[in-house]
Formats: sequence, C-alpha cells, structure tokens
Amino acid sequence: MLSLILLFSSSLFAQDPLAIVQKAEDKLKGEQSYAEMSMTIVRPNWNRTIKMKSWSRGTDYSLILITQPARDKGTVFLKKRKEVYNWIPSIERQIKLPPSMMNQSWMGSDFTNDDLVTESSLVKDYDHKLIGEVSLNGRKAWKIELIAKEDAAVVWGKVILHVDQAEYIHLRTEFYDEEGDLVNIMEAKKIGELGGKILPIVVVMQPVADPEHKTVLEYHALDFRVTIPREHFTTQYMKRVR
Amino acid sequence: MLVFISFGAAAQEASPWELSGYLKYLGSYSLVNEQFIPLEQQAATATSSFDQQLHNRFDLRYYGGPWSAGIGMRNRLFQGASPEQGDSFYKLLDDDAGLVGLSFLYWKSDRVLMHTIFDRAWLQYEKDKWSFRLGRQRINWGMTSVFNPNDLLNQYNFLDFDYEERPGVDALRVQFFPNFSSQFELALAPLNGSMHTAALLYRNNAYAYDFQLITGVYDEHFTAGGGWAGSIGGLGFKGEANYYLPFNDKGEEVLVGSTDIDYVFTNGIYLSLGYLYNQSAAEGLGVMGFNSLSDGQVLSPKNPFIFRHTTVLSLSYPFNPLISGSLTSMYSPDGNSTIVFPSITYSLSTNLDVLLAGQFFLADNQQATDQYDWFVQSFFARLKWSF
Repeated sequence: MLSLILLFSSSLFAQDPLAIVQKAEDKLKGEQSYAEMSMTIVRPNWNRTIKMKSWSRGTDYSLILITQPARDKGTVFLKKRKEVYNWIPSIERQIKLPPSMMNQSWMGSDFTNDDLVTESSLVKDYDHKLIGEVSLNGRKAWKIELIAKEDAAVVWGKVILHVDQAEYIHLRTEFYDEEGDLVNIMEAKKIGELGGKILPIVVVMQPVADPEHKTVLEYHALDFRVTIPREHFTTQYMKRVR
Repeated sequence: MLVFISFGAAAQEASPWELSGYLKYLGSYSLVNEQFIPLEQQAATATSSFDQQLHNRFDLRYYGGPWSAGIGMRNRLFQGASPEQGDSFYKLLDDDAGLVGLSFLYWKSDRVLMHTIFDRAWLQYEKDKWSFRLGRQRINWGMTSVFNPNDLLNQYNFLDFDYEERPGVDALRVQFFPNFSSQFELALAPLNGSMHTAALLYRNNAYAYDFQLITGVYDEHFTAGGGWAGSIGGLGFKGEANYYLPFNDKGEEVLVGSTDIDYVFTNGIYLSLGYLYNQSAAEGLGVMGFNSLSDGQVLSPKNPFIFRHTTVLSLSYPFNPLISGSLTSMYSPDGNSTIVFPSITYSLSTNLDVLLAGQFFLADNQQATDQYDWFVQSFFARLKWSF
C-alpha cells in the first residue's frame, strides 16, 4: 500500500531529478559570468572579510582578483582547465600551484578551492534520486539525493539538494563525507535579483561539527550576460586585471 | 530595490591611481657562538646584538588605458646593531646597483640611520600583443619555489624575509604574446660597471606543463638555460637550470640548476622539497659560507646561494584563518651546514599582523671542537600595519 502511494506520488512530481539538477546548475553558472562578492569568515570571537571580483567562462576558465584586505589586494588566482596559477603583485611573480591545492580551504574559509573555482559537476559526477518535496521559508522545493559515482574524483560521498521549484535555486545543500556523515550545510539566506535573474544573494556555509563557525558569501554583483574574451584567462592578462 | 542601490555604488568608475603600502616594526636579537670565531677575532665580535627598525613602504600605481606606471618607495629607520657597524653597513645600505642612483641615506650616525630607496620606478605601454616597460622593475623568470637559476635579472636573498617586494633592476623589458599560451620576453639591463645583462626568454605551455628557454649575456658570460612547471598527479613538479660560458679567461664555466616538488595534503599542510646545484660555490667552505652571507655578499644568478649542494624542505600550515606557521630548513653536506627558519604569523585585526620568526645556523665547528653545534641564532618579532 505504502509503495503504491510512493509510486503514485513520485509520478505526481513528474520530474526527472537529473533535469532539475541540470537546470539549477545552468542557472547558477551561465556560460560566462562576472561577480563582485565578499566572503566573511565568522568565528565566536572574531570575523574577517575578503572582497573579490571573479570572472568565469564555462567551467574550464576562471579568474579571481582579491580587492580586500589591503595585505592581499591585487592577488590573482587563475584556473585554466587543470592548471592553477597565483599572481603575487608585490613581487610581480606568477606561481604555478600544485593540483592538490584544489581540495584546500579557500583563504581559510569553510569553502574549498574546488567549491569556488573547479566546480566538480553535480550533474556528471553523481547519480540522482528525487526523494521528496519540502517547504523551506515558504518556498516549495524538490529534495534530491546525489550519490557520488564510483570513479568520480569528488570531495563528497553524498549531497542532498533542495531545489526551489519556481526559480531553480539551491535553497539548502547538505554535504556528506564518504562515511555518510553530514559535514557542511549550505543555505541561501537572501534571494533577490542579480543580473536579471532571481538568485541567492547571501549564501551561508555552516560546518556541522562547529555550530558557532560559518562562512557568509554575499554577492554585490553577478552578471551572466557578460562577454569575457578567452584571452582574459591567460597568465598575461592575470598580471593586468584590476 | 536596496540591491540595485548597492550595485550602483559598486559600479562607480575606479580612480586610475592606487596607493598602498605598510608600516612595520621589526625587532631582532642575535647570538653568535664565539667558539666558531678564530681566537684573534673574538674580541672584535659581538656575541649578542639587538637591532630594530621602523619600515614604511608606499606603492603608487597609475593605470590609464594602455599606459601604466609604478613607483615603490622604501623608508627605513634603524637603531641598534645596524648603525653601530658603521661604514661597512652604510655602504651596503646605500649601494644602489642601478643606472640611476635612487638611494638616499640622509640621517647617518652610529646610533640612528634613516634610509630611503626607490626600488620601483617604471613606465609601461601595452598594445595588442606587445608590452613595453622601462625603468626600475622586477623581472621574475623563475619557476621553482625557493632557488631560481632562471632569474637572470632579479636574484634575491631568501633569508631576507622582511624585504617582501625584493629589489628591482633598471631595465627595458619588451614582451610579445603570439597567442594565449606563448610569449617572448626581451630584457636589457645595463648595470653600473661591467655587469651588463641582455636576455631573451621564450615560454609556452603544452600537456599542462609550462616550459621556457632562455639565452643571453650576463656579466661577460654567454648563458643558456630553461625551466619547466608541471605536475605528476597531485604533485607539483618544477625545475630550472642555466649554464654559463665565459667570453674571456677571467670568467669560468658554471652550471646552476634547481628542482622541486610540492604537495598540499588534505589537512592543509603544504610541503615542498627542493634541491639546488651551484657550481659557483666553493666546496669545503662550511660555516664560512654563512659568514659570506651575513657579510651581505650579493647573491647573483651565477651564484644564487652559498653552498655547492643545498636541499630545502618547506612546510607551511594554516592553523586557522588567523594563525599560520611555516618552517623552512636547508641542508648542505658541506660541513653539515644547516639553516632552520621557523615563523608564525597572527592576524590581530584585518590590517594588523604579528610575525614571530627565528633563523638558526648550525654546522660542524671546524674552528675548534669539530662538533656539530649552533653558530648563529636570530630571533625576530614584527608588527605590520597594511593599507
């Protein structure tokens, strides 16, 4: 009887989880993008804010320029395909980073480099299953379970997505490690219009093990309608980006 | 609606001028093991010394379309062991190796010194695939982490950690970028005296490896070399080397080469392991090599460090977003010479950082006991305000 209901209700969704994830991914990425954002690391006794500008073209190319704090201003990270470069303006030196750098925390935050620049694919690297419908802060969302494919080189073993049914936004994402333990929760705290689309403006990453720790990412500008020439993602341009 | 207002503010036209810099206080305390010093010189050598400096820097940049310009001004006020050294220190400090003298020692006494140097002063023009830069600038060609034989123009002293920007060179640099991955770079640096450098670099990228070839003239030697930066799995793998052939019998044939691997572990520890071969360094110098370094011997591309063989191990670890630590250690089989260089930084507030560091030099005491012992211990404390 129960399985019948489940069968019936799941056909009611009439939605392919892969298509939902794909659509949400497409909306968040765009072929090309420009963003201005600030990231605040919040701890019980202190917090630190880093401001940056970022440019991306597909998932292969991205460029991040640090604009604050003063100490790190002008530092650039360039990713082209599998290669990552760091430009240090004070000594005018480009340094190629080891590929293993990608799994590391981004400037001490609760985001990894991979979260920000590599974008291991939620579409390609996982198997998808629709496991329910929920309401979060008055918004209806699909709850989708993602299990990492065996051969995928990803950080997480399992990811639970909550995708807004109206705007295809990730409202809440739960990251589980390979042992199945919940590690991080990412939530969209404020939703609004950015570059002509309805998108999350403030996103909070919360490590489950440290409830008093969090990292807040706020978008001041985000535009997917930009055209960024391929030559902007070169070590030559990395040295002059402002 | 609020969102749009904040966008408007962010989209303001930026000023073409940018000013940045810092103010630092650095205190250092050093101990010298007198057993390493020949008896006749012991009386003249201080076994402990204290030195402090206030260090200010301004970096002014202008960006106006194809034109850009930069000026870097370094101001330091010394008190303690440095001014007490007298003439030898004044000379070292006020020695501007460039074509144009931009070093000013305007307060000179055995108690206090005040010195200003402009170590960047350049004008740049960029058009399409070309870039021209004239003036005092840093030209970095090195690829490996610590020792860079390919840096024909801007060698630096790794142990001089407080000079974060490193010195500049008076040069003309022309860059040409035929496509997204390749570049040609010509650097002409006529220095004071006989030391002229003229070199051409070609760099390209294939199979996720950067590689470069260098040829040129350095201080009456013909030089050719090359380098690469790539990876093996998650491991970074880099290397570079230069070979020198003298024009006349005053010079010598020399090979200088370095390589290193680096890796970041999942717990955040960064590890790098490297090696430098420097044929210019005399063998059997042992601890005397340290002396030549502390005497302020200017390291050159042809002689980038004091030992024939040097291995370097570097570790760094961010304990949390405020505190990070690093440990670099160098070892040469020459007299078991060892340098250990630990440091820790702590962010007091957004723009205020504290650094605590030590530099420890150890070696076999060939002067007296023949035992492995410490020779020099230095301790540093630094407060830095960035703007």
